[in-house]
Amino acid sequence: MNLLHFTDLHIRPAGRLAYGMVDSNAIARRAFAKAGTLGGKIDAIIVTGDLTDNGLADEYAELNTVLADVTTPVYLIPGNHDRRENLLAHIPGVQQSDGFVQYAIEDFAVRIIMLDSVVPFATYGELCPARLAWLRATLAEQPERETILALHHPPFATGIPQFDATALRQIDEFRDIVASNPQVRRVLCGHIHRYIFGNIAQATCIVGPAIAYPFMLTLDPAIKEGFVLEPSAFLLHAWSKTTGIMTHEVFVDSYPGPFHVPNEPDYPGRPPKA
Amino acid sequence: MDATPHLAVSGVSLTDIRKTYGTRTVLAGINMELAQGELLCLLGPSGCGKTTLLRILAGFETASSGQVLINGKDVTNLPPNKRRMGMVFQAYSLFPNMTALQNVRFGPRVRGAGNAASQTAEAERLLAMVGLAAHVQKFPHQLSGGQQQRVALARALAVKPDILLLDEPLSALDAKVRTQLRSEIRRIQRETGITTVFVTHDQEEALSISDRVAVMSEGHVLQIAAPAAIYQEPANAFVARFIGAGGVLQGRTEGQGVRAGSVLLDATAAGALPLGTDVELFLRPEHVTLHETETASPGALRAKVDEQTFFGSLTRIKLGLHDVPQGEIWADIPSDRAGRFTPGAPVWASWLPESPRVLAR
Repeated sequence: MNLLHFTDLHIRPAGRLAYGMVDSNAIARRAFAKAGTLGGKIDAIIVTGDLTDNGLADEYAELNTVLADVTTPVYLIPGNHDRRENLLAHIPGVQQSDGFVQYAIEDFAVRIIMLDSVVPFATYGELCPARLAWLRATLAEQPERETILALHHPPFATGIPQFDATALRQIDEFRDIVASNPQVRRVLCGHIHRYIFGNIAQATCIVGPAIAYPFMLTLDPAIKEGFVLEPSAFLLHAWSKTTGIMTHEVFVDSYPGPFHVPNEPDYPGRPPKA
Repeated sequence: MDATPHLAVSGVSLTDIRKTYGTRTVLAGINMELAQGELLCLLGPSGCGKTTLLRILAGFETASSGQVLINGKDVTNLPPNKRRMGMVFQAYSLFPNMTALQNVRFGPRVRGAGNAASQTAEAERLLAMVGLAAHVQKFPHQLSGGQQQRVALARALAVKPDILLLDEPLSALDAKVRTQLRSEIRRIQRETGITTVFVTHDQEEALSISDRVAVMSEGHVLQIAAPAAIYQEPANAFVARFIGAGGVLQGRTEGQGVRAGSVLLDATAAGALPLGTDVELFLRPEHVTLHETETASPGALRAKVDEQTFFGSLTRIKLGLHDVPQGEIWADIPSDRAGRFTPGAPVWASWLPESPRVLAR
């Protein structure tokens, strides 16, 4: 099973740039096109929120045109830049449960549970008691099946204050649920616009790199975060019975190469001549 | 197709299915057989276990114990993606980035069933069958809610499933579309002959579409029977109360009647129970006749009109009873006669002795 993990598209109305300088619509188109060039069968693409920049009807209309050329199943959840009601109104077909955009994907060898961590009028994320109860109940349905959880807001602290101020609020509750469900192997999220690894109990937690633009990394808490025009990327989570889930980074854009790697005479790994 | 199920060929067989969450029992040992080609509705109030049972059939949930056979094959421990089933949910669950045709073609494409041309032809045939021949190239956001559910149905059928599972598929639609699509689901189900389980909380939906209905409450199947039998011969007080409208009067059997307060109510069915049994007498509103005077029907029950509810061609009248201490009854009358029975008016109610259902309390 090959699962692509896109996050933070920040789609704008057709013809508009994000923040006056990022052509996020074009980058998203290139990203979905890149997905078709990886040389293997892609089973699904999940997008972990911030599908649009402002949750506007015109932005979802543009997202529909971006998705129209994609032939792989696409599964969406919202982020803090989305408006749940507009997402559901303009992109019907997206599943929901109890009024939230939360659902389990049952079609593949690994079960994927998509969570809605959006709080209207807030940047931070939340899994309220109703959503936590839904997660517990959904995990209890198939405790034996290897499972990925996906949500927009990272459910752990990175240690970088600028990032952590807007993370998920229920970090402890979320960790307890993961810990008591050993079938959960990965937690996938977005929001921070950087490629970050961590652990939540037994599960590896991965913040996917953004499609639209990365945020800069600084260890100085006094520096205000800003975005940088570094390469956009997404992740490939490849699963097999023997390897489990292996994660690879894929840049959206192409760079020179590939070039042949010559076997230099001084290469220390070269076997000695007999 | 014969509407009577032939249980000799089993489409689905559930044996002692139990589901518990901690100390809470959601399903308490369900046994059920569906004939091949049968449409069974699981009907019950919220929390009765009907959706859990459907999800166990789909493989979305694991039973705590018990066995699920589909077409004779044990699928109890198979994950959903290994089962040959088609599913339609309440909320539309189409791929938003695919046209109707691509959505329907998707299952066969992934399973490698046939070549691209045959997959497309089959998807077009199914979309025509659900009435969407003119919409095959449209995306979900270009289709109405009812049309999206039609695509979902065609998509569920495209994988040629052994069993079709429908989880409240019409609940999100408006009343007119719901009724229309209900008939079409039944037509398509008959045409394809696919064994189908349909979960609903809407009794009209269940009674109108099913070969048989399983009425569930608190993790048990209380009665499983043809719709007419469920309505006319409810097996117990829960089913009698849950299905259809009706009056309930409490009393004790006395010969061919039920003694309630100072009144002996006609009920032939009471004769089947020992004298003096505590019972409930159930009376459908369509079985109650109203009279404006006592002399019009000697022995009729004295009452007054409490309220009227207009249903179009019929008006349902709630009666307050004079001489019966516990219970209430309703009468359905043609609306053009309802003007005679204004709230507060005295009235006399009668019924044929064989109409009431009498069940021990």
